[in-house]
Amino acid sequence: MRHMTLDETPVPQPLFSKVLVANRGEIARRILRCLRTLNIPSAVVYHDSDRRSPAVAEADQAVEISGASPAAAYLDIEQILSVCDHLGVEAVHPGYGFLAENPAFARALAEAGITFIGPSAEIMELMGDKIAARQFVAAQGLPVPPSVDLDPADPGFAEAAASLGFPVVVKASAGGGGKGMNIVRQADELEGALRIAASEASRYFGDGRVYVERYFTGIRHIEVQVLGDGERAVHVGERECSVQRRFQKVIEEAPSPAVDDAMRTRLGAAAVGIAEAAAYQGAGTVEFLHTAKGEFFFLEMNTRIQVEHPVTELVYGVDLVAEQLRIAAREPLRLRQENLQPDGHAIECRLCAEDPANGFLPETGRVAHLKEPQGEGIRMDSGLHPGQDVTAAFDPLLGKLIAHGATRPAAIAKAIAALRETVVLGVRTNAAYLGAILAHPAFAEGATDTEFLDRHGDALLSQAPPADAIVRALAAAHLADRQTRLIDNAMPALHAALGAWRN
Amino acid sequence: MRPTHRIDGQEHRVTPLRRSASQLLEVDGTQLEASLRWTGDHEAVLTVNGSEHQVHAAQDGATLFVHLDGRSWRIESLNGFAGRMDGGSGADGRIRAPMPGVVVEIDVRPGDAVAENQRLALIESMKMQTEITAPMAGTVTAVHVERGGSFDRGAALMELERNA
Amino acid sequence: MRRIETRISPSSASYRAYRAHNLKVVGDFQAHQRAARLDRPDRDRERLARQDKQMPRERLDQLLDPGTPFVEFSSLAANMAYDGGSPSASCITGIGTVGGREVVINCSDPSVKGGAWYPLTVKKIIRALDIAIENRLPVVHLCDSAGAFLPLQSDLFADQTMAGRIFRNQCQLSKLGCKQLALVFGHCTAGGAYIPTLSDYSVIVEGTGAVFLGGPPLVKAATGEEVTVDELGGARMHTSVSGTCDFYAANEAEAIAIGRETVMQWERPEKFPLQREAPEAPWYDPEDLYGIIPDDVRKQFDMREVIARIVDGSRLAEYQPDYGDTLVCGFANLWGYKVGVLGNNGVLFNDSSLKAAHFMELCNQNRVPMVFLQNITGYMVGREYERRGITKDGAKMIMVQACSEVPKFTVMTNGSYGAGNYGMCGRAFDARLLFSWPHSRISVMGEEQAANTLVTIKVAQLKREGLTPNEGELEQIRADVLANYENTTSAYYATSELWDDGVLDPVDTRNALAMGIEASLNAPFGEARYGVLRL
Repeated sequence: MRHMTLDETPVPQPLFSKVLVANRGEIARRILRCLRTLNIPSAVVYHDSDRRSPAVAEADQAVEISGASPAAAYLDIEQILSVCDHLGVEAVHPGYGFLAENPAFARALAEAGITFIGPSAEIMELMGDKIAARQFVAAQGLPVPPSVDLDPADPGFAEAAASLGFPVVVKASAGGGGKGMNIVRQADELEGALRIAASEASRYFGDGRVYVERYFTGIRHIEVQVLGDGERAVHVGERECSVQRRFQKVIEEAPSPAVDDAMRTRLGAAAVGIAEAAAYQGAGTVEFLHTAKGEFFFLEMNTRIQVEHPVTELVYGVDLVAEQLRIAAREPLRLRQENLQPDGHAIECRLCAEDPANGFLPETGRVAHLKEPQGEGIRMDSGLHPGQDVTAAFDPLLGKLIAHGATRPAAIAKAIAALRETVVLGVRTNAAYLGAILAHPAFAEGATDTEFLDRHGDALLSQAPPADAIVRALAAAHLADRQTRLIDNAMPALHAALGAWRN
Repeated sequence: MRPTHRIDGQEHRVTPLRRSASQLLEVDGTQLEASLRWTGDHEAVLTVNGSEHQVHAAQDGATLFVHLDGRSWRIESLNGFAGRMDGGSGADGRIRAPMPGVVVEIDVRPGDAVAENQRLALIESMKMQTEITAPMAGTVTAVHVERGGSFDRGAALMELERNA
Repeated sequence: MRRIETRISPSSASYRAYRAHNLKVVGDFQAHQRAARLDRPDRDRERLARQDKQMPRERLDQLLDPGTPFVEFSSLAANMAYDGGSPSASCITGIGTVGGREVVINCSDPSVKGGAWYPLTVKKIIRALDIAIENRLPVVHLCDSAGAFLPLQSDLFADQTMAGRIFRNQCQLSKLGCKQLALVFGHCTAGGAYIPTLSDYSVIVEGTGAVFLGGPPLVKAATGEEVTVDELGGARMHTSVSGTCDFYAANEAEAIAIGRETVMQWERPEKFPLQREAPEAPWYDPEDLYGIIPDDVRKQFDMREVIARIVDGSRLAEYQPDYGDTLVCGFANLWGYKVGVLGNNGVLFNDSSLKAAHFMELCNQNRVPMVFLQNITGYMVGREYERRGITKDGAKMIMVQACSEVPKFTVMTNGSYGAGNYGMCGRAFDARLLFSWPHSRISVMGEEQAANTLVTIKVAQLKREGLTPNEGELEQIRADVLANYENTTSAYYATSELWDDGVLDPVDTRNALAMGIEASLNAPFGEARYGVLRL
């Protein structure tokens, strides 16, 4: 197998004099690790609630930012610009989420003479507008899901929508990543759904435009990683992210069990075609839906580093963040398509602070103890640290466990073992639930589609731990209890030995 | 003392029968010899009837987090009364004034649901403001004071009914 | 130290007969004890339930550490008094652990006449506090008592060792630094009000707990003032206004939890460093005791057989094995602790008395606690022995024993008669704990001798009245005298009157003694200094 994918080639002259990471948590650490490898001086912004996070400790410089809420601080373009100015930052890596796909941020940086590590504001705008993106892709001759391109106010809209066949999905043009989507199962629900979707879209995205697409069931979510230097693009294989809960990815893997070499070539060519047509600069992801019949349709293109990028890195031996940095530094793409061959299989599990037994409600608490899994083929990307207060201020993602094996079953086995070794005490996590998904026979068969968890979720949740494990856990809890230990320490040896004797 | 623990709403009994180097425990009716050898602040080896298991454990008040057999457990000990010896307002649900003073703000009305530690009122006494918080989650059943009103030490400010 | 070689055989006829007999004796004792502890009329149980009160043993169960021993004292106190109206003398006392700390328990029993104090209740509480004083143990009082049982007030109020002694002992304990915690579950009225008040810490339960010198009716009578229990001495008032109690508890469970937290803040005692080896079970099964103790108190048995069922590995380093052989002396370990054992193997002669005195000096010199196993008909009488100074030698034994400073423990294994009771550390000689086996007997002389003496006196009395009883009448007189005598010499009578700290199933002796030894380590062992020995 391939080991860590970080680029180990020594770089005599750093790509940038200083890069600021405008993010937090695991992705901030991931980027900082890469910067250190590339000898690039690093800086990070942080909100007070992240003061003791590893990212702050690991960055060469760290500057506190504030906001009405912790999340608001990381979204505050003005403040981050002033930090850049103050620190003399040459480039900014936005990670994912927050400002990663915000064209205004990219423009503001450009105006300040600072490099945004990502594609141009124009590309972000194009791909961020789902209607425009669809049209762009369709113009390349690539399949997009059947849709109604009329304005919802148009008198023919309802009829056109009905002609798609139900169910359909109403999407916000400015949405993405599963947000701003509403499924409509029958005609009489359409009008109401459109109204709600439009109002939500203008509230969340500041853009009330919505469109209607045919909604496919029993599909797989397959996405292709691309890298482009503005002239040339390559694809770094696909990832399958079908195991989702409410459009949020739970488990991702590369390669997809549904994709063979021929299909990979076809999909890759389509993705590269889109990237090259857009003169794409940076790392991007082209998402497709794959129907049970084997058809592919373009869904959207994400112009950021994806949460699930590590599975690609482990399978292709490419450091995607390093490539992002090189491209941002105007270096021509060094990778050649023919050299990018998948090796083995990688699976990523999203470790979240949530209670699967209680409707997946977010869990909060203080991380009292932490032990991340280790071993060959195991990678843990996390921003966790002991003493951390996990609050509802941010997304419940605590970290990502990625396992690489020579084959898919080997990767699954490694991931299950590593999940069992993952110790996060003080806040409830979905680790056992993730393990149960991986251990499910349907997952082993690769029978994954976006309804996988709808279909098997209840069975996964009702898997009670074995009775002897409960007994052991109770015994351990009793013995570990501070109260028990205080009593035992004070207890005369005689009384301890006599036990519950009574005369 | 009758040690009772709760996992996911389910109650379990853990009764030590003897506490020598290893404890003889009765857990939900099953007897076992168990001992815990600490190898770090949060790491230990649990020996149950002679077989060893790696354990990670941490405690937050009466809640124990245990990692064992490849999964994490959250176990509440129902015997602790941690945090209730505050001297002020008791479990009877009567919120009493810790000192004489004047009501600056009242945040709740009868019928309001409140969370544990939620602020109920702000009082001022000897030029110092003190927040009155809910000792438990519950519903406000009565408010005995009004804004600007004064009260004596120990006066009942409001009544709270614990959530069932 | 050698293992005692047993000479008994479980297959022998006597073993089987004794065992059958003793199992019945012990079974009777256990039935008595169970009834005293648990049998209460439904009416009283329902009354407590209505008041949201738990039974006293439920409270105790919650207070004590789980999985730890509790040695209960005098469970059959008052069993032959007040027509059985005060089981266990209406209170529970003993030693157990709270938060790993040994504590003496003094727990009221509100299920009997509201926990009212009978004269023997007072005696039992005082004894528990004496145990605390002697062993420097903290005390937890679980208070729920209606106060003095008025019909018998003259038998429990004013004398030196009556109710006032309880409070005197509380003050002494506090002076000695022995902490006291009172959990006020019920009313503490008049004198009873001083139990929580003289305690260093107190917790009071809302609604049911109250502390006052005079209750509402008395206040109304005295001053005309009308006042509720809560206003007069309730939990909220005492914890926020008067400061008489320290902690407010919403209910009993919370009071007990606060009590446990409080005890867990107490310093852990520095114990006397008595030599201790790894404990070892007796080599011979303690259950053999049932086959060793004869079915008649007059039948002799070898005390070594008993020692072998009590001490570690059944090993005894016997002292002067060939001298004064009616007394077995030697060093042994009991649950690991070094002890000096003295056990009777017959009447005390001059040599056995001197051996006892010398051996006790050795125990004091070595700072080793002493265990007396009594089966003694007394010191030998007769011209020959008086001429050899048997009283003088007995006096030496008594003097050294009485002046010993190491903790002493006594078990009435069979008979305990005459001055032998004194020499072998009877109740008057401050054994830290004294237990009786259920068949044991205690009196100033043996039944037969006493009966004969009493019959002689009776016959002489009748003769003075001009009556000469015939053979049948003589038998009847004899039978009556014997029955009455037997009644008052039984272990049940002794324990009813608190002449001991309780009756034990013989197989429990080892553990009960160990609890006593462990408790004794809380107080320093003094240097022995003897009075004038008549040499």
